[in-house]
Amino acid sequence: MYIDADLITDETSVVEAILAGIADRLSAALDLDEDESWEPAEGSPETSLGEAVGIVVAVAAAMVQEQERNDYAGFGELILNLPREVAEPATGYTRWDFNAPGDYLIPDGSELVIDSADGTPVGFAVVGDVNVSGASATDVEVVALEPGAIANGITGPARDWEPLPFVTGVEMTTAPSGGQDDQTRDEYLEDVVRAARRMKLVPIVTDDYADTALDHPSVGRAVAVRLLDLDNPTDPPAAGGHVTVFIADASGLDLPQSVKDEVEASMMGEDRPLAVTVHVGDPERTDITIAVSIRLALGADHDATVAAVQAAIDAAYDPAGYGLDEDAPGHWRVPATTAERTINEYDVAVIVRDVEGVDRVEDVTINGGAEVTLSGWAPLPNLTAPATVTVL
Amino acid sequence: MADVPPVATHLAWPFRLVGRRLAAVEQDSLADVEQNVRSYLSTERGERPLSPDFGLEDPTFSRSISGARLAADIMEQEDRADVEVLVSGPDGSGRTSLTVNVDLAE
Repeated sequence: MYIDADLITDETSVVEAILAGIADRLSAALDLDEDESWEPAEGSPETSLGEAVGIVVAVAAAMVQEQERNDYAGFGELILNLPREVAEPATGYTRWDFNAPGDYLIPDGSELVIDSADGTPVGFAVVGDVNVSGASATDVEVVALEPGAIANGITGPARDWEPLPFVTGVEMTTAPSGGQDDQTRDEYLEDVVRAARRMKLVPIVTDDYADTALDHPSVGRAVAVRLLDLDNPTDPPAAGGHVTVFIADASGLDLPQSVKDEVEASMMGEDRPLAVTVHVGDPERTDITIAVSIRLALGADHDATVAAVQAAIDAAYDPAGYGLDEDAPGHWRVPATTAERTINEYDVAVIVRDVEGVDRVEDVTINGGAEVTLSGWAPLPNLTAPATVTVL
Repeated sequence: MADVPPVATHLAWPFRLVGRRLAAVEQDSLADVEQNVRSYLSTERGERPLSPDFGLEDPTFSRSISGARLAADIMEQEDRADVEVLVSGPDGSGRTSLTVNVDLAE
């Protein structure tokens, strides 16, 4: 059931609250006995002012409630994508009697009027041209001219019909059905409430698990791998019903086992898809050692430039920022291809080249070679030491 | 100067300043009751949506005004008042004058 915001919208109640507030405050401030306490009188200025304010406040409160109802309906239509029922015309079947047997045409749109149970005249129109031979036409489909439920269930003779010269009478033989009124906003709100109640904050797809891990305050990033059983890993993962979530803190560091246990427990409660087993693990780190040879720009300071190069490399491969992506599920964009998980000399050269004071990058080695490939499902680089910078 | 015990007060009408404060009348004093009666007499019945019975019926086009009935109406609204209404007129121009005397009810 939709529940309005807890606001007082009754004008009299607001006024009573205002005057009671005045009485309480004055009596408390002046420390008055109960029999001497301040009391509102019908003719006193405070009562007139309270009434004026009360009307304004009550109207404003009602407007807020109205706006909240509209907002909640908007939530249903735009966020939940829950359709709102629109008015539909009823459809029925009629018999048209003729003055003599013969070949006749009842044109598309020929109208008839029948009274509803409460006496309201309801108009119908024939759907499509009807060619018929004989003394009557049966099962002629008609549709209500106006959408709405009022046309449902009406049977019997029509009181008026299209003035075709050969027609002597029209009768609704099959009660019209399918007519419905526009769903009122309040009816729709009840639908939205029921739909919203069915929503659960449980992970469904793999990325949901990564995102859910961020609900733990210690987790700074997470990535989930479907079908991966961390206790019996295979490559590619093939363990049906298993999901492994790798987590790290905001600095990219491993989290204690207690946190991993809590994250795992948060996804293994009763509100979860059946038969899903969640594992939580640490990122896999690959040691990298970088050495670069550079030439200084004219006038550049040797020590300052070396320090700046080391700082730039350190920043680029700092686990606090490596692979971080606020738009990715779990805020972690892990490499999807071998190329993406490879750090090569060109990657490093681009970093160094942009450092102020560097004229050219002459050589780069990573772990003594041209490149290194990060391993693991949630790989992070581990810079073993500040980069060795040689100035030529 | 002796301490004056605090008493409940109401805003005085019409609003006016006494020093730097709004003037007030002591609750249940004659001034308090008088201004409530004045408020009743200057309000047309139905004018206040939340107190639709408070105030006078518009006397325009009335053939006569009963002072006793008016006094009873006022005292029904303000039971702290003892009200006497003296009616004079109508004069040659059709104008009726009222004199309303207010005292505290016993």
